[in-house]
Amino acid sequence: MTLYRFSSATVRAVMAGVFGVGLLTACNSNDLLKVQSPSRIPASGLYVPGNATLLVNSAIADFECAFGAYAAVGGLIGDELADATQTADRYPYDQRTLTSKDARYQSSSCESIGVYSPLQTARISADKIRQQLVQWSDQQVSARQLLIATANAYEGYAELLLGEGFCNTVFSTVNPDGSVSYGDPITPAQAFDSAITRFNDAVTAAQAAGASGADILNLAYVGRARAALDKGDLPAARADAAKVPASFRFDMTADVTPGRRYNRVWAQNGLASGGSYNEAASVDTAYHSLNDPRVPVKSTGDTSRTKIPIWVQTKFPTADAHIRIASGDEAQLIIAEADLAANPSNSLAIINTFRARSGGSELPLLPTATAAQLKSALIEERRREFFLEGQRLYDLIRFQIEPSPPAGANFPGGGTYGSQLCMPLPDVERFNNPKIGASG
Amino acid sequence: MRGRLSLGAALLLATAALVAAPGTGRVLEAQEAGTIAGTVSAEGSREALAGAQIVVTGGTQRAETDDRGRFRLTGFTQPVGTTVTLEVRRIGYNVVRVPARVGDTNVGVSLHENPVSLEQVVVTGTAGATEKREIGNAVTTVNAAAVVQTAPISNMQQLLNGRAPGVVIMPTSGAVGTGSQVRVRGLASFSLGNGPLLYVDGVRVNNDAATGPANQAFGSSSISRLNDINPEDIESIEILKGPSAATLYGTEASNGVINIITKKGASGAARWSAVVRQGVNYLQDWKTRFPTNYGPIHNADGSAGPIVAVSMDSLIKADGGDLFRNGRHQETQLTVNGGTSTFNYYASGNLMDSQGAEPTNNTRKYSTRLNVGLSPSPKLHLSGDVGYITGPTYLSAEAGYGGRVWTTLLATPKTYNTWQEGFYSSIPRQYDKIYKFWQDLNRFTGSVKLEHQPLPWLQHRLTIGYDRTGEGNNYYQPRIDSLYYSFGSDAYGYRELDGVTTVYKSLDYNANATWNPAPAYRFTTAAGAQYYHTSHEYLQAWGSIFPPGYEGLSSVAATTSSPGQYQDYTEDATLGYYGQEQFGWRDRLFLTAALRWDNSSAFGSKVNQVVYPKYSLSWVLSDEPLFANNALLGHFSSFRLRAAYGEAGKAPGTYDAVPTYIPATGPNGQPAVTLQSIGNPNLGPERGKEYELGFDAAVLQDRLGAEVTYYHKKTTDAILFKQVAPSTGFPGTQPFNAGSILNKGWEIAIRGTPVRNNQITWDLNASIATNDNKVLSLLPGTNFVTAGTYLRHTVGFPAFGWWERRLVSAQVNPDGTGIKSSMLCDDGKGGTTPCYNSSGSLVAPLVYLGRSVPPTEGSVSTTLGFLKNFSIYTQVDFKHGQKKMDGNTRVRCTFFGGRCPENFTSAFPVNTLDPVRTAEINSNRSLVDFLITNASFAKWRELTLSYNVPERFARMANLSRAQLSVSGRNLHTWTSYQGFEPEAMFLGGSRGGNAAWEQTTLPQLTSWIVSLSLGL
Repeated sequence: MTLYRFSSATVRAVMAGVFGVGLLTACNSNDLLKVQSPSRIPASGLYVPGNATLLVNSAIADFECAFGAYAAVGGLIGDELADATQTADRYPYDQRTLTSKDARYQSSSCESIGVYSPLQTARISADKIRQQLVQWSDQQVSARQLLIATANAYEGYAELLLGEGFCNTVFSTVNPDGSVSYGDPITPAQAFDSAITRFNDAVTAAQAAGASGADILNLAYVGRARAALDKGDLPAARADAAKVPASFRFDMTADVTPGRRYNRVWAQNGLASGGSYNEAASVDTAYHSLNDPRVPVKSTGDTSRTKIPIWVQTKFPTADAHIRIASGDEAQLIIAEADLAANPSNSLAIINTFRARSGGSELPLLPTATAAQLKSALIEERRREFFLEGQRLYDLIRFQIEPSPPAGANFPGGGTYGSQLCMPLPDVERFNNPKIGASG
Repeated sequence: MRGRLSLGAALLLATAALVAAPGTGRVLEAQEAGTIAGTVSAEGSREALAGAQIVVTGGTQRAETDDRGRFRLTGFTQPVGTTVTLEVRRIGYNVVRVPARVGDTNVGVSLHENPVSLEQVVVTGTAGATEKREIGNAVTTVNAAAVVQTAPISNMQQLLNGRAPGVVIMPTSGAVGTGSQVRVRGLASFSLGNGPLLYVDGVRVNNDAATGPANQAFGSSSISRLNDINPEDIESIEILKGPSAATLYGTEASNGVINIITKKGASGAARWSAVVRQGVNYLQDWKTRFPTNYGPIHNADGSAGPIVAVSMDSLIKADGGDLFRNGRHQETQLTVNGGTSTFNYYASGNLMDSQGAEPTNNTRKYSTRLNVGLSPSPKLHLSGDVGYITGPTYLSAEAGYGGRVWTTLLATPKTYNTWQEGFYSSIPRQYDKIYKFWQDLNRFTGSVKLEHQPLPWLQHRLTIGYDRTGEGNNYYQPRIDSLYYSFGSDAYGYRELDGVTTVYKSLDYNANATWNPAPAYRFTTAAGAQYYHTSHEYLQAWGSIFPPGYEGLSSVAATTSSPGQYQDYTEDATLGYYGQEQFGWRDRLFLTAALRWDNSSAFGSKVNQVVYPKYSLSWVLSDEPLFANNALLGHFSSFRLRAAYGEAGKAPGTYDAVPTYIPATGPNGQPAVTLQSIGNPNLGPERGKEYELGFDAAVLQDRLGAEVTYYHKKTTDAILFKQVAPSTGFPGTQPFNAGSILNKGWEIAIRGTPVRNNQITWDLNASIATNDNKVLSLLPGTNFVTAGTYLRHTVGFPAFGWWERRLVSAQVNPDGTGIKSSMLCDDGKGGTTPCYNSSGSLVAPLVYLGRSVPPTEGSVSTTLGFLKNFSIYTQVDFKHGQKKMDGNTRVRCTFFGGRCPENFTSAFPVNTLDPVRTAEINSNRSLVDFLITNASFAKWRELTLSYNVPERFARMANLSRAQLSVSGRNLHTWTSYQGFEPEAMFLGGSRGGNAAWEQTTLPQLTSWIVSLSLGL
């Protein structure tokens, strides 16, 4: 049997081995495994009172991103925009053939004109900080009531748009401990009820905030009025709208930071520098010749690869053009709508105020109008006044208007137009929400 | 460019200076006391064998034979006439130990060919040399140096294809410079990469399979980092195919390991060699290859005219010439190696310029390598290996980006008499003008290795490795206002530069101790520790629209609109240790057991460390007396049984486990954050558990050999990304260790030499590998998860399986639409069911349509040597049983108004058409199973005719060796696949990954290359 002999060479060899292993083991292994993540913020420790303003701004930013995508997508599904790309997975919006499994529709990116997930992210972002703000104290967070009002108002708007744009939707909740309470599918009316609850809390908090809460207060009033209008509760809608000053305006802000801060409508269809255009979409033919300063459009003289003429809107001429979320004008038209039957003369007066803005002979003031004419005029004013502001889609749905081109007409990308206006609950929700349990 | 070339030039200059220094080699030789020299040749044919390794038993001298089989050992201190033992090894031959006398310069050694030689030394991850006979796994060895001499090889993936059973090379585009997916023993992960680890001379290096500019969103023309390694510099490739063989490589190794061993210098004077290649790449039969498209010609008044077919002649005329060119391929390789008994070197330089079939596609590579070894004492060996490659790869617009294949494949008569002149989107030459994509590459790989054998029974090794890949992925659209009508605002210009710097650092220490308590017994103890650190730095800038009127503007700084920039950095680190004990009995029975511990920065915060075990048995039965004494068994010149079990891991993505937010811009420029990833603190590695059983056998005096292996690999804790319901506010997915996948199959390699004599040698190799893949489990309560468009992971079926409704029968309306009430679909149970309900909604279930990865693949190759100096080599390989999405037909027939007869039933009455296909084409893409079709194929891959110039003639030109060969690649395809190319598929992008989706990508090109190889 050969035995080890521990000569000096052996000792040196063992020492060398120990040294080699030591190179790797002398350091604390945790130190060796520490890595940088210079662009990522760990979630732990983020929701603290010192970050209250940051997190409310984050909720606003999430909403603004989603709102821009909603305005663009609503324009495509409705009659404001036409798809001008060769990208087939975009077509179901404009073609009005959207199904729950369409690829683009599943996108979580507002830049890619995903719309369901961005609105849900905006809703939860606002909801999470709202829940925290309620638990924190005024000593911990300055201007806490204003922040609570703001979070409520934006959450309410996210819920409102999920009710307007979707055939049905889901409101889950992320609890303060991080657990999730999944929601059931709900109807648009239920979504509007939930939004009204948020606007109620926004009103309460904005009032508590005093003068600094004035804008949020009016935003909440308009939002609550819109939700009530969507529900068909005209008296409630009128009551809130009447509280809003005519000059009030509240915008979705945009800026030139590339990416999600762009005005999404402009990014789809608008003037670009150097005389070029953003032409993923074209303004639809129904808006080419209105000659109304509220609907500024121009022909580029070009045609898309799918052979449609390219027209661009100039209402939002730059990437940082803001989009109106709520306004005294909207409140006035809500009053006009509420008064269509109850007080038609007041309705007519309001409508004529807006018709005067058309700036031409095409929409002369109406001395009188039948109920049908009055309703038609109201719808026309809303179409022009809120051009590409995310209002038209639900107007088409609630007034049961078939947009142009009609179902069955040839779609430039191939096939024919359909009639699907409301967006179905996407598969990404259906397949992953245990309360729904669709097997696909 | 100056900086890039300077490093390569410096390496070459350093080498040249080293070699050319007056008398360097000879002075050292003259200082040495004794020499043994001679030649090594093949038994039977007497063919000189290059690359044979000669070492002195019990000594430190080592040498390698040159192209003429010559070797020279120096540095003997013994008196002349003293007998020593030379051990001579070469891949594919038995080891020979022969006595030789110091001072004898005419030693002749002949090696007996053995295709399954058990004495071959292979890389296993430990410090000491390990022969195949000692390990319980199949290790496939590719004799790269020999293959490159006989086959038309211009990149690594061509070198591997068909030469290692179980290793599947899946090409993407035929564009030159693009790469392939590499799969070893099937798909073992749902969400992580399925590619193997790559080591070069013991150092882990970047093996990213899908890099480069995203010249189209679906990711077809991707550039593989594996192809950065110059095949001419490789001595051999060893492939550890799964966890049972790769346990010591730890977390990351569950998909196997490819070990590349580069060439080293042999002692002796400087030996120069040069290889010059010239050839052509072209798209075979392109004039008749495109499917016929139909459509209406527009009348002068804009109304639709008669339905006609697109004429290829009219397209060629419109583009002003051939749509696809014959691209030139040229390559020059210069190498030198030599050394003394204490020092050796190998240096090479390679210039390669290859043009594709599209005018804007070509790749230029400048690579160099310098490997040096130094043995300051018999107990210590130092080596340093460095490689450097630079050069651009230019890619053409492809697939979703448009380009030649796209606009030609979708050509339509509708655009006759318009500016498109029959093409679908733009005329090909206009694409060439407007879209420029390329990748600039600078890659440096270096290692320093210290091997120390302080005692006969103890050796250890420290390896430090560094691999830095700098990619500049470029997008450039010059401003060409005159093309606005064709490309819209793209014609106003765009510039983007995406820089990615990837750095792999590794520190690897291993030690081996052997103990022979008795002559029949041997224990080998191995231990080691490894630290790996990988980082990626991203730097991007972009902008659009160049000012009009100025030609030559091409930088981001010159753009006027939508400028942007992005910078990010990611890194991860892994630390692991192992210990292994091997027991050997009479050098014919070996038992091995090992444990590996790993921790990684990518593990979740609640996962500290993982442990992987390994056990193996190898029993060389042919060395047992039973075989020697039995008439029947005595026919086996070698027979070995082997069995192994082992585990290895696959770490999660860098930050998958960590819940994170990212900064965002809020209203009025205020800071904000938005949720990025939900994370999972319990996320650990995927774990591959594999056992394999097999045998290696050689009969008929080693003329026929076989390696047969059965493997059973189960991946547990497979990471699945569960889409989070958006109503929770989380925008993406959450990773879980939840699934399991089983891969099992057979790998059979047969190598034979039916004829070998002085006049004729005939070698025949064949291999076949099967892979049975099945999803065993997914997330609790989940029977399937979506894996891509029409792809699912479904329990009980293969991962990445095709799933859609299958239309069985239909009646169609005169307009080609199906009569819904008549349409019957597969019910998934062997019967049929109505496809639609009474409301017209699709209600038939999705059914399994097939695998996206081949379940069977193999190759047959043969080499016939005749008339002493001629040889013919050829290889045919095949893949069988996979299905592919024929995206070409999908787009042609179901998008943009269609181009197929089924789209124009006024001209092609429905009673002349297949009703099922017609109904599907006109189903608004609701029924697509006709597009998911069998993509089995066999390809005549390689053919080479070589002529070795007789030595006497070569010497007249002062050459030691000269070889002239003509080679062809991708010569013919046998397939029933209805698409364009059964091998084309997307590799990255939105439809890449593990899917098999072909859509308007360039088919594989045919090449013919003439090579001249010279030895000086």
